[in-house]
Amino acid sequence: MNKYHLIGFVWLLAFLPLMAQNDSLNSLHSPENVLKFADYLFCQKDYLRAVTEYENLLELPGINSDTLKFKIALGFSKMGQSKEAGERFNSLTFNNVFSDEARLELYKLKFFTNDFSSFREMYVQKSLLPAKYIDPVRKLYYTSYLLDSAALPGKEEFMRAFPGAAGSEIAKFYSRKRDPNYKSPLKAAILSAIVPGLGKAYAGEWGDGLTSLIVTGVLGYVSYDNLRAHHSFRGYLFGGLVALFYAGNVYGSAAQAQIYNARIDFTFTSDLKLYLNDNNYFLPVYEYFCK
Amino acid sequence: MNIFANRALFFLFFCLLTVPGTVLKAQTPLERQFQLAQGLIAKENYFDAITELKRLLFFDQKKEYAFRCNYLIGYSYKKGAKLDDAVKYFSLSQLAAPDDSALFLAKTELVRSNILRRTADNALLILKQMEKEPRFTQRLKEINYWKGWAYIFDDDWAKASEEFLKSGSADELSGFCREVEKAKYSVSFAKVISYILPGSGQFYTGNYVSGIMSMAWTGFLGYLTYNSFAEERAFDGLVEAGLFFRFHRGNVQNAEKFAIERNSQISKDALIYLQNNYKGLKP
Repeated sequence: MNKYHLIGFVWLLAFLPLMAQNDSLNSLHSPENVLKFADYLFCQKDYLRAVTEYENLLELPGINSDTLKFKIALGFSKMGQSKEAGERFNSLTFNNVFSDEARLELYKLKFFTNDFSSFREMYVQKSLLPAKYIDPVRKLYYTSYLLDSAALPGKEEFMRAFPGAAGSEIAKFYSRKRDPNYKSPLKAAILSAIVPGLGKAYAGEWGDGLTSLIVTGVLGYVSYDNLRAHHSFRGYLFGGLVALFYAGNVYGSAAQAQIYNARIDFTFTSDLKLYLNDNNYFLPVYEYFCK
Repeated sequence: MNIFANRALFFLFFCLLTVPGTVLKAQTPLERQFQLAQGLIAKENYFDAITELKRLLFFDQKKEYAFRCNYLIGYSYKKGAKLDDAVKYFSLSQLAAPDDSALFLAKTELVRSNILRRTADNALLILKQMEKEPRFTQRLKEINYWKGWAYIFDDDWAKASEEFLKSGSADELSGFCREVEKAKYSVSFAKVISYILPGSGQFYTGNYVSGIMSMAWTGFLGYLTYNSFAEERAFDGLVEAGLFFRFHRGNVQNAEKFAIERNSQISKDALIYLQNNYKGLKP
């Protein structure tokens, strides 16, 4: 060993800790650890950071994982970035380990962005139907009719998608959707025009109806009595008030019927969504991602 | 050959072995990761800082960095106005606080984040608990200071003024809060004078047109009522009295609403003023 060899050896000895240090820093950012960390973030529902980490991994040479691509798309979907998610799921629909899942997610994207007409169009075309998940997609298809104003399919056809225990609950929702207990605004207005307050009572507001009847009646009587007693000013004043109350009551009755109908729709949608949420919309959960 | 015979070579050998070991002391990967995150915070790159701190937390199996990481994640979230997340991480940092001083720091930040996200009730609850803890008796003035701010955001400027006074270091703030309290309208007074003279509550709050309208309507209906009774038309009088009382009640409610609106505006203006002009420590 000459002296140059020895100097080289000493250099190596001296800087070995620093080199090791660089390696150890890199170890937290090694592909394996990045993946572990990204999976952790994904399961913690920190999707933005998880997606960033997965994308960093995909940029590394030699890494081209369908799982990563699917998780990225799923992350975008969970963040509500449906356009970005849709594009990514689309690229995974053929010749891919996750093609069935990607197709299911495309259906879910349409459904959960309330784009029910596109959803149904996609379902009818069948080109993207996921073989593994035909049943959940069919259930979503029929459920979509309960959530918008499209004409309901026949009950027999509808119920075929919900065999078993779920059927009885869904049948109740179907009946509520088909025969909602609506009140006619026109009928409410006409009733109030005939007897003040009757339209409000018809629309379910008995208290308001009775108040309207009493107030209009009393003011009408006072107006009539004043006119009869030649107290013109008071007579016309109360007459004006009666006209105002009467017109307001007719209009208010029609509005009340509309409010009643909106309440029925709201209650129906809330009850249905609560039920569907409890049953995860009859959709599968990818348990292999976050156990 | 004996290389140590050469003094220059020996010196080189000594330096090479000692310098990296002392000055350039080898750091653990977690230390380096922490430095990386601190660097990102210094550059105000809070999103990446949070990512790196979370990475450190994930790999820190001994939880050596639990307090520092959670605290800095909370701090970064707060800087990004993600106050719910900030509260979550400051809460976690309290659990991992290594000593009383760190615990006080975490609790204070928790309070400040609660104040900013308008959950002043929570902030006050934490501060009242801190006040009772013997380990924080030396820091009561700081607690009073943050109680003052919590009361400001709770729209209780009088109490805020008292707390700032107790803190002993915020006379300017205490005076300002007193001025704001003085500038506010008394809701009860607006209601009472409107009971006595319809429309006067509206005048008191500076809503003159509304005041005149209230006065005119109640006056007119009062006159009609009186006139009906004077003419011995009792039923007319009763109906008109009903209308009079309905208008009178509306007038009182209206005065109350105006006073509340005015006070809300005064509080908002005061907060904006403090945000732009107060140089001391703010939530």
